[in-house]
Amino acid sequence: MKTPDEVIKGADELRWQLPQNLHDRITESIYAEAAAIADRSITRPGSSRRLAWQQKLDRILTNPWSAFPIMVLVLGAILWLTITGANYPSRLLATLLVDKGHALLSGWFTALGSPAWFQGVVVDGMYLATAWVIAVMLPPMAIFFPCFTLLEDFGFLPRVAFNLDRIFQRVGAHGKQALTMAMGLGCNAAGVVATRIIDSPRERLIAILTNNFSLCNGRWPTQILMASIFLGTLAPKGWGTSIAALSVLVVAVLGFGFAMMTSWLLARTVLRGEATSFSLELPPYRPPNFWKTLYTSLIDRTLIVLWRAVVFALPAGAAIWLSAHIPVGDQSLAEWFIHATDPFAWMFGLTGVILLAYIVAIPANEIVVPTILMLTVMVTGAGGGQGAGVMFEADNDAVLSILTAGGWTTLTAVCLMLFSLCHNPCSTTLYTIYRETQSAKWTVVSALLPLVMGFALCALVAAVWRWVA
Amino acid sequence: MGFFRKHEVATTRIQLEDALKHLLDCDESGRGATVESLAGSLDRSRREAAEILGQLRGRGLATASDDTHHLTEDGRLYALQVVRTHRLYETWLARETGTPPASWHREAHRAEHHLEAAAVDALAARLNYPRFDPHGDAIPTRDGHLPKRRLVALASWPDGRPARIEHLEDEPENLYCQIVDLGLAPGTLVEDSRHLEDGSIEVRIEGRSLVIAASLAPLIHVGGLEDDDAPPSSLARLSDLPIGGSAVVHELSPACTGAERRRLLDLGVVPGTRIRCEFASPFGTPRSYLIRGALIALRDYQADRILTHSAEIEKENEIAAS
Amino acid sequence: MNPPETHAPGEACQTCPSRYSQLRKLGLNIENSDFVVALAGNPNTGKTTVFNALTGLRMHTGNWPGKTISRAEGAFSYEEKRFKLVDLPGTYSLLSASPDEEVARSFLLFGQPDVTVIVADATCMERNLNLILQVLQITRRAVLCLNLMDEARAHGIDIDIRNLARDLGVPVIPCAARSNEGIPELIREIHTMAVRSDSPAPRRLPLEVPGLRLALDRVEAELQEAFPRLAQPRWVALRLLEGDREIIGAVKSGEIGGLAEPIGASLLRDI
Repeated sequence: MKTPDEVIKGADELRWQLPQNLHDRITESIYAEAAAIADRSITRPGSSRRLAWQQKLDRILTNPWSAFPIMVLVLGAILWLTITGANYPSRLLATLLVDKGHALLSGWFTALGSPAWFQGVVVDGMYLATAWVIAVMLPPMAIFFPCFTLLEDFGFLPRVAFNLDRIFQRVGAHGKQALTMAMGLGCNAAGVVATRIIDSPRERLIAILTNNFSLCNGRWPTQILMASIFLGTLAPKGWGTSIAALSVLVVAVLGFGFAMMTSWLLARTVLRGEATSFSLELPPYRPPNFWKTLYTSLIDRTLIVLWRAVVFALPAGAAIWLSAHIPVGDQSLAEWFIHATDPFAWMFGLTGVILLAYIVAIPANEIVVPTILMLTVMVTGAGGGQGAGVMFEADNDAVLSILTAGGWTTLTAVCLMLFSLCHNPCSTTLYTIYRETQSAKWTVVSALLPLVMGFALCALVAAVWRWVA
Repeated sequence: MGFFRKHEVATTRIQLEDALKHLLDCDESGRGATVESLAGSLDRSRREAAEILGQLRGRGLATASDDTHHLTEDGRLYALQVVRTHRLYETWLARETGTPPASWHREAHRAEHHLEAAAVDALAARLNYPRFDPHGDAIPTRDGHLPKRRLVALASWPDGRPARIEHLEDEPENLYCQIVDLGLAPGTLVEDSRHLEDGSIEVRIEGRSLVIAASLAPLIHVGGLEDDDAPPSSLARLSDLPIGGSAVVHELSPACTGAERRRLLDLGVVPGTRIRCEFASPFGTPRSYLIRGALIALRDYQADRILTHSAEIEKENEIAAS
Repeated sequence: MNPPETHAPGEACQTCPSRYSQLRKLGLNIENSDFVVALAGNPNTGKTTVFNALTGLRMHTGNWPGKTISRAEGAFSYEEKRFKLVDLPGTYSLLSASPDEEVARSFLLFGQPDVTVIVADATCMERNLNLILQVLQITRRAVLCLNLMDEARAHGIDIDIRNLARDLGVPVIPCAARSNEGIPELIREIHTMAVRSDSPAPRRLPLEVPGLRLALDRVEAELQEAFPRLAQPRWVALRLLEGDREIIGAVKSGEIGGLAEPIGASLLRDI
């Protein structure tokens, strides 16, 4: 009777007599067996019509001349569809939830005789912020992600990774990072989760840490608004929209550049020693299950947006309202902070309002613009709006006049656009990064890295701008 | 390792362990260590070397007869554990990190004095108890078992006889770096070799001809091939395959190690697999290959390490042409 | 070796409502299951689609290897038996040390599923067989789900299901999980496999590697001596020789001795 320890000892001794490349030999013998079995039961035709068009499609999608135009076209079409297509449902939701819903709720609370502060925190703070997030975020997410999923199901995305891999190889990253970055254009948290498709730890970490440089849905509105009211108006008549669109594109491309630069830096410094192996399978094209995908993706995204709105925007709303109403000396906490930080923010071409807005908007970037407007109105007393601590929507001209009254210049707008690209990820993304990396250290790095870069960039731009002017 | 108390200075441990390794080297080669040889090996004065040897004797790790020193059984066991740590650490660096081969020895030399026995055992377990380090040296077991092999330097290998590289000497470091740059690794097949007049050796390796400098040849140890291991008429690399061409895998280059090797094997890149190059990305690399019915993208450096029968390529091309 | 009866059902059968009558999708309700079913397979073979089709859940899928990383669980019931379904991460092999493979390997060995459904891509069988053969070394109670049959047909690939089933020694069910084709047959086969009392004999690998055979025989014999009830001595012996630390640990602690065939016992087991 052998004891377990004897069995292990026996195996340890025998191990020395085995061929050095045992693993290779075993895999080889299994594959030989697999080939024999496949030979007996499976017959493959040399070619089929399906195979022929797949090969043709592959040639077109990876051809040096046609590959990039097609990729740009597809991504452009999705973004266009997302931005214009989201407009109408967004308006509808805003009318329904923000205008009608807010008035209705306020009415109820007043009728029930609730204290003013309670109504302020719940209705003007929590409800309004949540309503805003839903109205702004739900439609674009509900359009962007189904489109993406359809492309994924079809098998287009692996070809994009294949085409772009060389660039990513140069900076020490994985081609699949292209996909996670594209995913990040919708939502960085989703982009971070998508890095799971990268199976080597080092490249995956790089993709996680740089995903924030993809402008997410929550930041597009800030970019578009700043570009159209400040930069668009600088352009000659009729060119405003194009200039605005172009400047947003420049920021997005800049984001890609930063992502590449950061990847390169990471791969050459702190992440140098990590293990690496490349593998990318190009699955056959499969006709996507259109309606099912649309339905599943729609439901999933709606649930995610709603969850996020409740978990993150609700408390943020309360914080905004409270900061505008808790007194510090003879002014509110918000005003006190804004005045205290204004000189510091000036160095970076920003304002204290923007800094405060970014702090309260850590949970959800999409409330940055309304928060800025609300705070500016509060500080300057400029017209419009519904009172301190209440988020509102206004048309472009009204926004421009409010912001100009708040001391904004073109430089402020440019710096805000850059800072919006380069700052810490929102709390959902940070939480996701923590969950995926299981490391507090990398979560902190992912928050500080873009923040430091953003401040440096803004300071540089502001200094050069002022020196030139 | 139990021989040192915590308050003792770390440098003492490093010195003694390095001395033990020197004694082990000398014992293995049968020359016996002297104060002079130790002083030379550790780069210390004679007085210091004598002191260290005295300490070793005091701890019962070494004995002296005349002026040569030998390891006691305890000393040998201890020295083997230091060697074990070093080689396991190198294996770990090679398999699981992206550390370049040139730094393996230096980093392992630093780590060998700091890892505790439990950590070393954990490392061995993590690596699935490897038997050879990335230079081709056998790794001693926990109970000090170390199989011996006879090594033949490439410099004394007969011309024209195929061989397999069994071991690469990793010191001096600059020479080892040159060997790595040539793409050599333990296990690499030397299809053909020829001594040139200046002492350098011209070899054919993985479908390429290269000249190994006279200074490197003594550091490369080779052995004969097993019977079932005969080299094919000629080898080529998968990266040489033109788009649309196919080839049959001969083997994965020994330079392909760790996770990279395992993944390629799992995908079906094993000897005998037919691979067709389908198309390239707009930048030329990666290229896509049809492997066992699946389309797999491989970067150039990966395709470089997949060795194929070039005879098969020719045959394929003939068929394609006709 | 008794090849099970499997055949492609005709059109009429496909639409017959009675075939669904006994299936209830239980989604995430995985309490009190009678049987545990594991889903194993290569990445991107539609494992998650099969999982969704069986449980009625909506896990995210994609034409893209490696979408599923963590272990997903769901449940369904059939013939008044409750089945817990565990979706394992997709792997190319079970021989390596990557985290995915460790999860899959230890669940198949130590989790002792009553039935293992191996999901394979019918358009790329050779590669898939590598994993199928490895899984069959660990477990005897397996069902092969030949997914993406619609794609295989589109490519003109012809698979002799009977022959394949006889060769592998396990039932083979052709499926197209996206359109629910073959799912009812798969469920029936899972049920049959779970309740059957004899044990099928799937194909064993010859492992013709010089020098390995003798060592394998010796370790296997010693294992059988130490743990007479061990169901997969050869596979465990191979892993011991390869130095798998998890297996070494299980042998040391004697845990491996409890890994007998889960026949009948599972009916009483409370999970």
